[in-house]
Amino acid sequence: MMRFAALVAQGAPQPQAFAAYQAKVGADEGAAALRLLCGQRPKRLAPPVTLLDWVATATNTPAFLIEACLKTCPDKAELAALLFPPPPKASTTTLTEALASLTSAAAYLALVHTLPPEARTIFNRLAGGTFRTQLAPAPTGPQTAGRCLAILTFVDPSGPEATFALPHGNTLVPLTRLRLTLPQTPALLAWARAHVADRFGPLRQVPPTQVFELAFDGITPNARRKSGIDLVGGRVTSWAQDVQACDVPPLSALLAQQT
Amino acid sequence: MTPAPLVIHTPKGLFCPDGDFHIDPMGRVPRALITHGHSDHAARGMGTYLCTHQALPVIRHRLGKMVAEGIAYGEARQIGGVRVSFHPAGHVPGSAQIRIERAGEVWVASGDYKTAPDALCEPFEPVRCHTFLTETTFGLPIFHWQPEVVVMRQIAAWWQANAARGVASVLLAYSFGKAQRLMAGLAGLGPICTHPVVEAVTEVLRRQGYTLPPTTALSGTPPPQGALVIATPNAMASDWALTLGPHQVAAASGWMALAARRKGVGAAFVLSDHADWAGLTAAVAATQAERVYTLHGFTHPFAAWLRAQGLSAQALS
Ligand SMILES: [Zn+2]
Ligand SMILES: [Zn+2]
Repeated sequence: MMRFAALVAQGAPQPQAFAAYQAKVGADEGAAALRLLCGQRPKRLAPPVTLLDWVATATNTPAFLIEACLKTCPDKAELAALLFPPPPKASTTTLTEALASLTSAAAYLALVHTLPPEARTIFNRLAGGTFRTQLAPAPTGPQTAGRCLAILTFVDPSGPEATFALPHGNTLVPLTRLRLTLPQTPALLAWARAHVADRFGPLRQVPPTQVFELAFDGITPNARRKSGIDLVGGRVTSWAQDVQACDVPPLSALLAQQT
Repeated sequence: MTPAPLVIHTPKGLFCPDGDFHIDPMGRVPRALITHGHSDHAARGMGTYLCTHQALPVIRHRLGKMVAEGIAYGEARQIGGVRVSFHPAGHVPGSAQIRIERAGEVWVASGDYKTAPDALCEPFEPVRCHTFLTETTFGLPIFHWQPEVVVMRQIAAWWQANAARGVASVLLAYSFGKAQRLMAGLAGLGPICTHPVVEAVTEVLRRQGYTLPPTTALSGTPPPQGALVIATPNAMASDWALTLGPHQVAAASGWMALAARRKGVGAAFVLSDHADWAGLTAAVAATQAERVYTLHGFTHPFAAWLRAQGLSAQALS
């Protein structure tokens, strides 16, 4: 199960990676993995929300904490994996053994917590019927969707909208302007009001100290932008209040990720 | 009548009215007590600074000219109407929780802390108090850290695999604390190089007597074969990164527990200088405090959880 989880950790595995995996595991596990990666999914044990319920009960986690956790980890399969502490000893469970335990809540719960967290997430996707990874057709196109951290530089309270920037050498380069839809938007606007450094019409410049996580569907080159790129489908996903601005990866890191 | 609070939350940070001092203030104040040298706790512009002897050299290195005084762990000092002492927080070298006492009533401001020991800093010591102001950076039950040796073994394996392929291993870390914790935990496994910013802080800690392995600062020269390079994320933005030759980049942070945060780095290791969920709950229990205030990170869910356990708890931010 750990080898299979590692194989699919980065998304669709390349055929060479699959061949290397197949050489390491037995014929049974290799065949089971191939069926999964060709889109043949096991019968769903329960929907992800039910798996999460079972895990919440097993770990004595109250509903209000599950709700708080979902804001940080919206993926229910991942959340159900992270609620257990790390397993006390290394797991040797094979993929075939894991698939065989998808028969009842009791069998599922008996196994899931013994796996390391990343294997648990994959196991939960198999159990919840949301495993979608397939073997990559070679060659593959570039993967451009992703998430990045960015620093808040301007706020327009009338939108409300905000401008985000990335470090580049010793300066900050504007990356994108996005609507603010986070639940913490009122708190953010209050913070911006209390920290206005300068005004340009409706725009309030703020000290570059607040870090946000952005998600986007793609990146396209745009020579008219200082950053040289446009974010496609950009949106603000969280206020990363415990990340310091100096720890935001630079523009070059975002560009490197795309090539 | 309930006595006036020993510590209040103000826009400039925590303030002790009876002692007329702030803790880790972010706006200019006359008198600052500093828990540790991270930039979100130790800022420029305060009239005077008080921190542990162990924290002071790095704070001076980072902030430059300042009026500052060191104090030993556990040493009590009267400031205005309160007695103050600093106690190990296990977060970074010199980091402290601040204990404040007035007529038998005790409050403790935790600063940043980590309950599990590491290879470098003074281990966390729980301090009994009536009111505990705790950080909650990782205050959700999805954060469970492995023992440090387990994570160091994972990092060592990644480093060795890269070295076998003739590729340098670049570990991203804060220049103070995490960087030195990594070198201390990985000492003796191969050549360790640093970005000059990391080296400067490392040298300050070495002069203080912290045991750190030999490191080589890279300034324009490529790392030796099979080296581990410890650098800040910012350093990787500069031309400096171009001199590294073929390399793999990894991040080491508590946030790496989340798949979304692992995207975009070559390898990710879950290693934090903050307490995890179990550490936070154990720390609160060990203080035997009847009232808890939460600061930083997941303040609201953690306070709600404490209330569900029967404690008086409230989020401050
Ligand atoms: Zn800190
Ligand atoms: Zn901090």
